[in-house]
Amino acid sequence: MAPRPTRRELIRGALATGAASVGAATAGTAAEAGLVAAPAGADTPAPSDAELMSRALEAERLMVLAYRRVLESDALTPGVRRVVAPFLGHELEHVAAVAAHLSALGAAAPTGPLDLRSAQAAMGKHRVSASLTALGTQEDCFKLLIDLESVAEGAYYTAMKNLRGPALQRLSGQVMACEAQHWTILSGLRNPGEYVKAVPWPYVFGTK
Amino acid sequence: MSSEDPSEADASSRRRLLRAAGAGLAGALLAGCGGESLRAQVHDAKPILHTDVDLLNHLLHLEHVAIAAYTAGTPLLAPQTLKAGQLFLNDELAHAGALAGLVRAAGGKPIKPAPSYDLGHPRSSEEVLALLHRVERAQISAYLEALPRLEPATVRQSIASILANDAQHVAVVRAALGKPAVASAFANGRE
Repeated sequence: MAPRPTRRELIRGALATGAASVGAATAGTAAEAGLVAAPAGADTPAPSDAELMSRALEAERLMVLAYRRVLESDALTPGVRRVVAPFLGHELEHVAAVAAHLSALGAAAPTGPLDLRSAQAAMGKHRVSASLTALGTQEDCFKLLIDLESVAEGAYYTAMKNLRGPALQRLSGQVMACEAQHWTILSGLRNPGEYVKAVPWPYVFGTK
Repeated sequence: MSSEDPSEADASSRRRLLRAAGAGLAGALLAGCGGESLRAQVHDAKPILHTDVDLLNHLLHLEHVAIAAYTAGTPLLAPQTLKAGQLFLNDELAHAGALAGLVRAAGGKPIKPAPSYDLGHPRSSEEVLALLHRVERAQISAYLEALPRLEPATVRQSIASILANDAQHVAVVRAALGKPAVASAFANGRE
């Protein structure tokens, strides 16, 4: 019969288990963020398609709220408003498409715009400092929309690393491309004639 | 323009660095861009499938066509769009470099540019823009077709990233042609 563990051995074992859990969680988080490959044997399940698209849906609902607030403000010039107004329609189509896929996966798929409190929490999570309420100038509007388009791009770019369903992979590619186009046109309106600011990189990643 | 916006000022300086370094360093430079570098992705746990070589080479062929179109057409662009043509040529060169790297990582040989391509005979800035629009749309269509067929997922991520950049090009070209810049909520290569 094996001797009972001493108190010292029990404590040492608990500390080792805790450290391993933290290490695995950290590695899993970093891997999910795309910073490092998950170590072999790490017990961190990849997010499901439903989880990934739920995050994308939250980003899209945030976009809908932001575009509505911007278009309801008096801050945009008529020319800019004419260009930007159709983007709200695109975001609504994105919400509908992502929600439809989530429903097919048996997941919750709320389609209404986020309430202000949830939106501000989501923006805080993505470290977006722009305001949803202080939209006094056109520059305020550009900053909000451009920052959130980056968040939306990032949601799909991040999802692409783990999405399993081909239809969702294609949809994510299509929507990410559209968000990148929004980003480019908004940046172009904000910085007329400065193409390097409208298309600064050969690659689009968005923000995490 | 908000000159104190750190994201845009940072993007401008990175853009200059990218142009100076040339397309051949595209993979290494990606390491500083907020995404996992192509090199890191290639050395991820899962290898790129050798069966993807043909598909990746097809995408590389389309990049060669785009490079030829931008190289030949940009000098004919009007002054207000000339700079965009130059920037987008750099982007396509970077894409070609990245795809060539993926082909090699899959154990294949990157397809070389053809001696010439049938680009028609555009003579005006508008005709060049129409050509560039066709070329970019063909790329978007091909990238979307390829996306769900490629493995591993990190390669799909890279392809999505390039696809989105080509979509940005389309938006600028469409605006220069006097069309609505973003034609659809879902990029499909027909816009």
